[in-house]
Amino acid sequence: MKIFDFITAWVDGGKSVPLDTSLSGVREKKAASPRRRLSDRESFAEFMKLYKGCCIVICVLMVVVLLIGAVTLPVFGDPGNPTNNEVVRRYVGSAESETGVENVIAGMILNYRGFDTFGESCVLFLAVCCVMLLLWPTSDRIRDEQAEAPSARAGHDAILSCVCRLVLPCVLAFGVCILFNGHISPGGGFSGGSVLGAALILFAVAFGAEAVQRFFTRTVFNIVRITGLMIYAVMFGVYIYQGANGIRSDLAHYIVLVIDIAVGLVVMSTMYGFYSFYTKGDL
Amino acid sequence: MLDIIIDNRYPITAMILFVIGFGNMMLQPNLIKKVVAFNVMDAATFLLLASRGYIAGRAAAILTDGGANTDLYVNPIPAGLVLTGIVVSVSVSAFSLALIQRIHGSYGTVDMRVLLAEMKKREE
Repeated sequence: MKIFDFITAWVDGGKSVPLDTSLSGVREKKAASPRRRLSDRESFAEFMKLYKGCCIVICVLMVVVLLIGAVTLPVFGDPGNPTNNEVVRRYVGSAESETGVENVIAGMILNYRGFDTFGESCVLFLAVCCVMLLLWPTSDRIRDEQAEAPSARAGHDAILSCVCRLVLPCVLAFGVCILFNGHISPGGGFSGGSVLGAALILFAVAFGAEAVQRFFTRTVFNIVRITGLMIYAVMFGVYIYQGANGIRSDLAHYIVLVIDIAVGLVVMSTMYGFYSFYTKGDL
Repeated sequence: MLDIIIDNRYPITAMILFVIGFGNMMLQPNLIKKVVAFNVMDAATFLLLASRGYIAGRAAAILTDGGANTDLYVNPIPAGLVLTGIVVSVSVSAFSLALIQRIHGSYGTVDMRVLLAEMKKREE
C-alpha cells in the first residue's frame, strides 16, 4: 500500500492524495487506522527496494527463458540451418555478375539493400544534427568555456605529437585503402570512414582543435556530410531509375564504389563531429 | 548437457550478456552507466546475429571464384544486419550522451536519485 501511495503521489506531482470518500464507512475506518504516514524520502527508499527486487526477478526469469531458447537453437555452424536458405545462395551466386563487386556484403548493403543503407546514413546524419542541437553553444555556456579555456586547451603533448607524426600517415593511408577497396576486399564505407574519422580525432588530440579548424571548419563539415548524402541519393536514384539489375556489371561496380565513398564521407564527418561537439561544444 | 552448452556457446554467451546489460540498465543509478549497459545489450545482439551467419569450414564472403560455388562462403546477410545495428547503436549512444551532457549542465549530476530529488525540489 505504501508503494501505491508513493506512486500516486508521484503521479499527482507530490500533492497529498485525498482519501476516497465514496468508500463505505467500514473501509474508511480501516483507512484511518493509526498508521504512520511515511515521508517522501522513506517511501522513495521503499519504492527503490521493491523496484530492485522486481528487476532482479525479471532478470532471472529473462535469463532462464532466453537460455532455454538458446539451447534449442539450430546447431552452430551447420550448413543445413534454416538461416542458410536460398536467399544466401542467390546473393553469393549472382553478386559478382549483377553488382560487379567481389565483397558480397558490400554488394548486398549498397546494391540489393541500398535503401536500407541510405536510411542508415540518414540516421547518422540525424544523430549528428541532434548532438549539434543539444550541445550548440548558448550564451551562458560560451561564458563557461571562456572561464575554463586555459585548462581545456592543454593539447600539446610532446610524446603524443611525435607519435602522431609517425602514426597518422599510416592511419590515413589505411583508411583511404579500405575505403577505396571496400568492394573487392574486406572494408567499405563504414569501416573506412570510421578509420578516417579516428585519424582526424587523433590529429585534433595531438595538435589541438585549432589545427583541424584550419581545413575542417564548420562549413566544410556541413558541405562534406550533406554532399555525401546527396551523392548517395543521386547515384542510387540513377541506378534504380536505370533498371537496377539490367545495368552492366562494370557500371554497377563503379556505382557501388562511388556510393561507398559517399558513405565514408558521411561516417568520417559524423565521427569527427561527435568528438568535436562533445569536447568543446562546437566545431 | 555439456555438449549442448558447447555447441550453443555463442547464443548462450549472447543471452547472458543481454541480461547483464538489461539488468544494469534498470538498476544502475548513474546515467552514463546506463548507456554503457545499453551498449552491452547491443553487443549481445550483434554476437547472436553474427554467430548465426557462421558456417563451419567456410571462408568470409569475399568471392574468389566469381560465386560459381556458393558452398565456399559463409552467410553474408547477418553481417549486413549487424552493420545496420552498429550504426543505430552508435547514433543512439551519441544522442543519449549528448542529452546526459545537457542534464549534467543544468542539474550538475548524472545520478538518477539525486536528479529525481533535484527535479522535485525545482518543481515546488
